[in-house]
Amino acid sequence: MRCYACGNELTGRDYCTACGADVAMYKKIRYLSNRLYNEGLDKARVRDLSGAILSLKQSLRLYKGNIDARNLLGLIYYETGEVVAALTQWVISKNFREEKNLAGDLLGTVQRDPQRLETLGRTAKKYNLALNYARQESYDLAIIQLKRILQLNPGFLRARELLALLHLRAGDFERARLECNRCLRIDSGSTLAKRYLKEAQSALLPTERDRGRRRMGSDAVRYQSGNEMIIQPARTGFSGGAVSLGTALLGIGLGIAIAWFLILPTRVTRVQEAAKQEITAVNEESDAKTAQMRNLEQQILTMEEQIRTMEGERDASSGEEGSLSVEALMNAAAAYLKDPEDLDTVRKYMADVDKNAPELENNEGASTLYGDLQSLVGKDLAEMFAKEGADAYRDGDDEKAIPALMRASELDPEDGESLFLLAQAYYRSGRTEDARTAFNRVVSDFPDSGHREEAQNLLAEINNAGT
Amino acid sequence: MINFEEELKKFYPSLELEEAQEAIAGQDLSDVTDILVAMLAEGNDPGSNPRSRRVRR
Repeated sequence: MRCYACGNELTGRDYCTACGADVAMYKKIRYLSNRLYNEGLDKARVRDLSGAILSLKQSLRLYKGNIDARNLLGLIYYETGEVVAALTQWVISKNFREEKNLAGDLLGTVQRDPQRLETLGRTAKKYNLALNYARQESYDLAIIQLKRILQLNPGFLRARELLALLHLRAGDFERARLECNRCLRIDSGSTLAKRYLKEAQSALLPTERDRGRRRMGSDAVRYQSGNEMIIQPARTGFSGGAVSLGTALLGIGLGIAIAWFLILPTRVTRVQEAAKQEITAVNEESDAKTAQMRNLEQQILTMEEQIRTMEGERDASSGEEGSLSVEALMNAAAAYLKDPEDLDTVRKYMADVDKNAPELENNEGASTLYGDLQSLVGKDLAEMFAKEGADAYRDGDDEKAIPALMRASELDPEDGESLFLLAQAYYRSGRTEDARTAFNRVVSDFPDSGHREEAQNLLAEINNAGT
Repeated sequence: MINFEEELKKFYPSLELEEAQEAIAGQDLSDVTDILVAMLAEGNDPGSNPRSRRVRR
């Protein structure tokens, strides 16, 4: 400490040993200034920046040359986003003492990052703009501007306090509370932030008296949280016994719930699995039986078809054909009785008469009628059939020749010529067995016939072809 | 309940970089030691001390 009058270093005495000036009061003021600096330093260490600023300002008011106090004040201003105020303090400090001054380092640090300095300068301008918006009642614009500022400089305490105030005004208490808490993280001694926080909290959490009053009106407590209306069910009082009973019931309920959700599902799953297996087995059995039934139904259908076919064949071979032969014989007999000279009509009916048809053979009357008719007109009819058959055979029409020659041979069993032609027609049309039978009859029944040798040759030919 | 208008009045504009020089120059740097030194200086000057003038009379 130097003398204010001559600048000499002071000793422990109350006057200057060089010039004799009274320094007792001066020393006290300097001590007090240092003491306030220490107090400010302590407050700054616990982030009570507002308190620290107050102490440091008082310290400087007592002694403006307290370099440490001025430097610390600048540092605190810088921390709260007040860059110009910080620079001011550091420049003044530097002017007080050029050498060995921390202010020089601090100024150097700031000047080495001009971009940062420019950004911080811009935030100051924007803050002033936001403040103007707020004063002109353009609150939304002010909020938007402040949010941008805080993105650039999150530690700008005044901007954050103003934002909290604007949120409070807008009724957005939750955001106001949030901003206040952030302010208090920067400066734990911020009176504004504390006041705004109290206001926000009182809005968010209604007092006990308010709760009681609101409960009287309804069974629910309602209060505003930001833009949201919180509706909380009102509590009702329970006695100790009721609480115990409720707890016991709750325990039982929980036990049932555990059994329901943990044990029962396992058992249900097991039962379901067993049922599924049983259903699968039954389905398999059912499928097998269904297949068996379908097979049997198919067999029934096949057999029914066979029966129908056989019935058809039976009817075709015996019934209809037989009855047809009998009917044709009766018609032939009727035609003869009507006009014995009209042999053409008789021949026409007799062409449909099969002598070997079962109906005809088994019918005694029909057989007698056939015999009588044969004895009366057999020869004449045989000649007509023989001629018709021979003509057809020569024309190569075996389909027409065979029935005609067959009737000729039946009506006149001694007609070897017609039999031989019949055998040849059979042979030519590919009916080998019938041809063989006919040729054998020619050979056996007509040994003196001129066709015997030829019939034997053709029989040999058939036999060779057969082997 | 806070009064918004009153609260808003507590906020004052921030110093801008362009105003730094002006702010430094306009800084009131008077302190108690200045007053004390002035007082002591006045005390040492007999002409300026009203009590000493009264004694002379």
